[in-house]
Amino acid sequence: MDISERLTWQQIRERYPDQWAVLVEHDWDEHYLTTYTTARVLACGASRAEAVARARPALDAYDGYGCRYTGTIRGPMFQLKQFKLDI
Amino acid sequence: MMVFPFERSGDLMTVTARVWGAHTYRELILVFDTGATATSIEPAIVKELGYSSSDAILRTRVPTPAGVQHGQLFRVHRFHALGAELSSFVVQALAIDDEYGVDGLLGMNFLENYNFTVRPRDRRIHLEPVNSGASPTV
Repeated sequence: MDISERLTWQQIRERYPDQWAVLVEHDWDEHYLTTYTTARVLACGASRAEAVARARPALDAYDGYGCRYTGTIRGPMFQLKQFKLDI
Repeated sequence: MMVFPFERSGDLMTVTARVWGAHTYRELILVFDTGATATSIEPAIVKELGYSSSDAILRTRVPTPAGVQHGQLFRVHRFHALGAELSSFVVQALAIDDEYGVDGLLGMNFLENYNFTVRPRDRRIHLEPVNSGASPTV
């Protein structure tokens, strides 16, 4: 797929429902490095690995990217919360 | 006092974070989880950023209903969440199934740097840094 135009997260969820989307060119807030308004979708896939694999040929052009699931997040992951050191 | 938005999905609260390797970074969606000991990230992301098993500082084991799951602790170059950037921050690489739709958990080894108030109806987290570990960027 071609890279999308700038979209809000809500628009991305509507256009690419229930899949993993590789996001690039975020317009990050200059003060809060984890806040953005829009980004472009570089590739999508049924799994995180599939989406990243589809985006891979173009990813070298970017310093970083995100891969977000556009469907409903499930949980909680009770069993993943506590660990013991394996020493 | 700093104020940050979070997203709600069912009963979960998620926040956006960033983790850096030597050359690139990844945006992360993490569950804000006061019940989690460590901040945990899907291993494929840690590997893609250039960290390998030889960089692991400790192995971990997590009891699950299906048996013991193994993880590894890594000291990442930079980690940013909720307005604070930490260098040499320790994260646990632990398999997070795609079905959960997140990249990991923002756990207490990060959150303990704050006093915080979660305001679910407002979808806001109010934070106040309380020790020298965190370096707020605002």
